[in-house]
Amino acid sequence: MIEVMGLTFLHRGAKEPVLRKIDFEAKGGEVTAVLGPNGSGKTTIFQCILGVWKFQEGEVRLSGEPVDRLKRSEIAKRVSSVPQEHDPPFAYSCLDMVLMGRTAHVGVFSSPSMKDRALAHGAMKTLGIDHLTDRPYTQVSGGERQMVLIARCLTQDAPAMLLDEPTAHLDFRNQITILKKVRQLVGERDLTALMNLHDPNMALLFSDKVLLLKAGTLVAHGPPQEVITRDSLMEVYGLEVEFVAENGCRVICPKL
Amino acid sequence: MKRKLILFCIGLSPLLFTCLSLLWGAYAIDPWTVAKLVFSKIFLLKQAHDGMELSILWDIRLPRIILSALVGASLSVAGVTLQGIFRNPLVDPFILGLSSGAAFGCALSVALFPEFPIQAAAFVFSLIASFTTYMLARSQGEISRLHLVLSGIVISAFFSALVSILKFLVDPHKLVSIVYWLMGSFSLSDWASIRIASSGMIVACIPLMLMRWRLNALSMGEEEARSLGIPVERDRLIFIGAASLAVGSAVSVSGIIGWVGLMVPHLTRMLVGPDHKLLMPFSLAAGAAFMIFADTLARNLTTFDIPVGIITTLSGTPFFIYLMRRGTGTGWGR
Repeated sequence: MIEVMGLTFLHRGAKEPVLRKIDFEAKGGEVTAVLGPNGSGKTTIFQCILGVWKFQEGEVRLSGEPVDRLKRSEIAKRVSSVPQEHDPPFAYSCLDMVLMGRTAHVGVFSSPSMKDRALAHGAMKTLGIDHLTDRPYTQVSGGERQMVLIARCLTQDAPAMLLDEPTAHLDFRNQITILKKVRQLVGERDLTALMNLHDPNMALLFSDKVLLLKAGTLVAHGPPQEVITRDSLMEVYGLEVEFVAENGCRVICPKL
Repeated sequence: MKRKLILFCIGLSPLLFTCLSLLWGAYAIDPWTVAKLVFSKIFLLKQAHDGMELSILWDIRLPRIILSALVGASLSVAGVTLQGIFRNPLVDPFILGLSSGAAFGCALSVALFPEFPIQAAAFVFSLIASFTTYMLARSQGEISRLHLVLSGIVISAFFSALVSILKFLVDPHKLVSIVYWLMGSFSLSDWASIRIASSGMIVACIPLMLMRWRLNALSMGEEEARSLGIPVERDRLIFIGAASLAVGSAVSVSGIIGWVGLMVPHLTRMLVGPDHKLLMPFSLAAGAAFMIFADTLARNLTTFDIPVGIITTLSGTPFFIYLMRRGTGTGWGR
């Protein structure tokens, strides 16, 4: 469970906060989508939850513990993350990438054990990418990379998982594959998932809750059907849209 | 299978080159005698041979071999570490200014403060150099590769200039020894210098070896390493500190030997892959082997002792050009 209370974040030296009094709660078994235009503070929320950036006001709790009182490894045992854009300097094999998920569990002076390796292999199997084990991560496709990073989250074995634009740079099919997989894992393992998305349609299809952000403030929070409306999209994106219903599925279509 | 064979060969290479180096020298000793002498010395058996051959092997060749192995291993391990934490396959102790810093420390101790131990001076200044480079590169937030290399060049130039001032100030006797020593050489190796320098190198290698797997996660960048559970500042401090100690101790006994810390990690990475769990120990072995080999050449190519730094730099230059031309995958320009 992730609880965020009154979260306010300012960059050093900046006058205007990037996030203002954000309040929300994300529970196990739920996918929460974070929507908002570029620069609305989506990634900043993630960095604050991960404890990577220090926030000035408010509180973030991971499984009940305030994040600013936890050690790095303890945070990593509570929340894992799929980072945005990924370009490692060395051509690690996909298995090496997945194994990095064990960093918080393996002692400072040791290397992954057979058990850790088995966990990594298991996670890769779960995601159907065991054929990538020895392939260099730098040479696999964008969709496969996302799968590797999600496998790394599973290996990290944390109850919560943050995905920063998991569908960016992916083709249509891969977007759907990744989001379906996330949905399925969240259901099966009772994970708390938080993900940044650009496409409100994807949020309608794959999320249980939506956070709608505009310039660092939370405009709306709730089930996608309630939060994603003509008015809210107009307010946040400044774009007129229509909803088209097809086979019981609502699709957002911008007015051209 | 092929991979196992490669690993086996790298692991064995220091031993092979040690044998080669023991056998090959200005004074010819036949292999059988070498084997007998070394064997009897190690197992403290009675000496049956004349003292001359024994002293060439035991007091000249062997200390050089051991010292060059230690220095090669330290520089390579430091190279792997720096490339890992700075996420840049094109850096080494030389490029980041650690070597120049250490050189300045040594020159300072030789020229002006002989009562201050050379090793300590080398370590302190290599530490100062590495952290200054790090802070300079970091002032832009996340370390950019270009900034890092540029900062290294600046710091390196700064300490080289300080060394030049010292060279200008000291009396000619000391000048000769400083200049020769800066070129990098093992010609003054003896058991005493091994005793002095080995402790620093070994102490530095212990944390680097034990924590090597974490370099994988650290090389993913600051934020990602944090989210994987690494206290980035603390770990970087340990890694940079240990690398500086390794380089400082190496420089204090052998002078500046360039390019080893760049070439060896690179070649080893090509052979065993980028996983630091394997890369670190095999770079250590390969670095030891390469340095023994280079020093054996330095001893034997001409009638006099060429500074080994010249040999490593001569072989390093074409290698670096090759890496630059190869472009992708080297981390340059991304």
